Amino acid sequence: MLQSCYLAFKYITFHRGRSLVLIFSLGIIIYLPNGLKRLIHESETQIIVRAKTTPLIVGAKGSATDLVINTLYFKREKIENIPMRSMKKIQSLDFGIVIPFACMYAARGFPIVATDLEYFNFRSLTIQRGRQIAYVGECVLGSAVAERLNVDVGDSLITDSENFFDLAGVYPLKMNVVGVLKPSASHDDQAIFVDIKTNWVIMGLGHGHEDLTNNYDQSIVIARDSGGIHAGAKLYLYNSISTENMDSFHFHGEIDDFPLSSFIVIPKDHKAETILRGRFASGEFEQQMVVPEQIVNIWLESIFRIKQIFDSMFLLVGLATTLILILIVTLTLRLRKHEIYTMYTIGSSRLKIVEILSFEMIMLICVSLVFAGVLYSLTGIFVDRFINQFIL
Amino acid sequence: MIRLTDISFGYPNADFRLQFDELSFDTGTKTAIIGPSGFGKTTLLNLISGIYLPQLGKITIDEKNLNSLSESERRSFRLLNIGFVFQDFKLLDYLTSMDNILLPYRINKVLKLNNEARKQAAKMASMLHIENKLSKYPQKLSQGERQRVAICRALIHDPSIILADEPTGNLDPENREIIMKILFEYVNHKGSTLVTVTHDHELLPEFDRIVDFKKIYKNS
Amino acid sequence: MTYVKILFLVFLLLFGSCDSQKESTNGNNSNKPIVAVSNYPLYYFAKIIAGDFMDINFPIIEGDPAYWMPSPEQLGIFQNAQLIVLNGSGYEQWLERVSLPSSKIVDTSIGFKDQWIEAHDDVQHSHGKEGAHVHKGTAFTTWLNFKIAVRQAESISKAFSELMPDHKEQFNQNYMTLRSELFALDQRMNMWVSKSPYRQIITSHPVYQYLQSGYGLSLSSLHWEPNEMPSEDQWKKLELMITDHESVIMIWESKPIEAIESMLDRLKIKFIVFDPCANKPKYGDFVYIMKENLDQLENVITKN
Repeated sequence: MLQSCYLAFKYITFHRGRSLVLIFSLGIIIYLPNGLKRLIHESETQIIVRAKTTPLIVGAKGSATDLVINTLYFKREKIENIPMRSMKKIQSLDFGIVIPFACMYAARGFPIVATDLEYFNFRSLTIQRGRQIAYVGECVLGSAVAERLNVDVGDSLITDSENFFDLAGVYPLKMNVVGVLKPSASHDDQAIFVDIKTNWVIMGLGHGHEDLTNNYDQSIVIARDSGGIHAGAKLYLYNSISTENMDSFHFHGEIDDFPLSSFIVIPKDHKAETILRGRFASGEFEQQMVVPEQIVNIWLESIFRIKQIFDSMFLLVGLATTLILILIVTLTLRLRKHEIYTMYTIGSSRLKIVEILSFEMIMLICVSLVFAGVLYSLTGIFVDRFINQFIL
Repeated sequence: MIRLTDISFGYPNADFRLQFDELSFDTGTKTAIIGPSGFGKTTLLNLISGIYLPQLGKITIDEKNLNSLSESERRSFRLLNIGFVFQDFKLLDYLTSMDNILLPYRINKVLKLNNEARKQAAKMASMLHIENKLSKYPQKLSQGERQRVAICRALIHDPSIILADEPTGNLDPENREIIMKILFEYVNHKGSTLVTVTHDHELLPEFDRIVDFKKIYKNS
Repeated sequence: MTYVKILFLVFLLLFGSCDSQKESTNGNNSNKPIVAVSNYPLYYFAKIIAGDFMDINFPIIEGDPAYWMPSPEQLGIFQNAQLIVLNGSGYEQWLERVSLPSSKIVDTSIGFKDQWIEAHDDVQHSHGKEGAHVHKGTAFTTWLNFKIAVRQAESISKAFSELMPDHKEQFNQNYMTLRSELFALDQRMNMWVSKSPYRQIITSHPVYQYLQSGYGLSLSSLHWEPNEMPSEDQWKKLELMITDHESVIMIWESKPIEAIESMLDRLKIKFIVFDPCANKPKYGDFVYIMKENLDQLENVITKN
């Protein structure tokens, strides 16, 4: 037995190239159906978990799917904004925890999620390096963002220009990176988090400027009247917020009117949830309230269809694989006819020869399985991408 | 002594038939078998070694009747008593010279692979001047070296009968001489029986006996 | 025998270490909920209502807490607190520059939004330590109307009871005590107003809007600093404001320098110090300072 094993091993290692090709193809064939199954299964679980842990979302009336995708997966769908006032209204009703949410901008391709500190508790996100957001203009990064952009605590990120020709619009904001979150194996790893007020600063609703009242360069001031001091275009608009200009930062207009993409409601209890949903259903509020779990179930139906297609495909692939394996074994036997004859002449039994060949197959299959196993264990990494590509 | 009597052997689905009344090889003799191709010289070697059994007739080796042995008994018998040398060496390309020499030990339980065997292999290799080729694969060896490895493999388990099928057929004159010298020395030294199929008439004077297949072959 | 001894020793060690651990955690007070407040009146109310059940944090602030900007460490206390008690109605101007978990915030003035007073004064001023600032939006020294202070205290008590429902009774009791203290101040203030012959009150700063609206006073404001001698123009402006020197009284947030005092004497303008007590006082507590304020107001009448 040991000797057969040795001979088999020798054969495999001598014909390395051939063996590797076989291992690779077998590995892939074994992996693909299982890997895809896992991918689908994990995507399902991840989607369900994220939806279930997000009890209620309130947003502008319109596509509920877009609203859920925006709030759970940070895709900047064209959803209408809602005023901060609408959130405060729900907050004042005291039905539970209310978390503001806005995902309207991006920095170097990654979505900027504007919320408040409650969001981190709610999603159990903790800081790995640095500290939590303290001031407007600061951001913390999801672990994948930090890794992929190679940005860390102490660096800065500039928001992407929304529209190059939008001259009157948004000034890019230089945000200070103050922390990096622990990996959470969710979409939160792929976002840049800021305070909701920072989002408004990006929108141009709030800004800092030089002190007009105490300014020595009076050429900036073009008029003083009872309405206030008017400044010329020379007035410098900061595109970053630092300790020096922090004091001059302020918002224009009523904060209650400022926009959110949505807000998350975590009801105190079942009763609170029922009442709140009832009040939304009755049309008391201008916004819609959606239960992410219900929306997500619709997507999962489409995943289920994909799964069925894959299943039937893999049945065929499996059949083809078996045929190919039979072909390989036959060809191998033919190729090694002389070798087999030699062994037989010297004194080997047919059974022994079968044993040696079987060991070779077993070894190849084992290594292929290991290879498939490695691929399988790496599958988890692609779950997020899979969800992005095929489900959302 | 090897004795074949009233032999009749044919391959299934083939017209060829090997038939003769009697052929025997005394222990310790060197016999050359000559004759044209297609007369069944190789078949004879396969009959002696028990790979094939004749449809009619009897083969005995030292009073042991091969017909009465089971296939696995014949295999063990072959492995313990017979050494094969082939024209095309029949080395396994994926084994080193050492592993090729030790192959008989790896393919049947009747031979136990131990340090003794390894030492014996090394000793024989040095006798055949291939001691520094033991870790090489056959494709890295010359034809002469390959045949020497093949001879080591045939002789490693000390067989009492050596069956050689045109052992020098693929060799240049110099190597031909060396190889035959080795074989003869071994046989002389051990008192083994050597049966060699050959087309090489220059070698014939070295043999004790020459069997011309054309003469014993009864083709009906 | 030795086994028994060893076992005994092990037991001693185990229980000994357990005990010491317990003590150390108790010593930390770490199991008390942390409450962060943004000005002194709130601190005083929260402290009285919470008793020993909570850890009330009011950062050390130099100057007026309304113009404060928290350091990262101070902000950390607010961010990690179980409750963040704010005065609201625009008091915490730093709020729009920092990140706080909104669900932990208790805005003590949200309940009387209908009574918020709009601050009309939107001229910019440059004076004092705080540098330039703009008074605009809403007035925020809400607690100077003691009836409103009671409502603020009530919302604190309510929030505390929700955080620690087991101690609801205790919180309510403490609140009732505080409430009667505040109502007593309210009564004294009403009494003073009914007796007072002073029809015109001038304040050194526009911070007494709630005193004005709560007690029906006629107030006009300046922007004078107690440690800076006003210019001649400013004095002239003051004189123009005064219609009847006999019935005017000037209120300062803190005692003005002697030069100002003698000038006021010369102009025969009576003045008192009414400390809004937004920050922690050097002595006494909120009620003590308010009583002192009322004493001063009452003294003006009796002296007369």
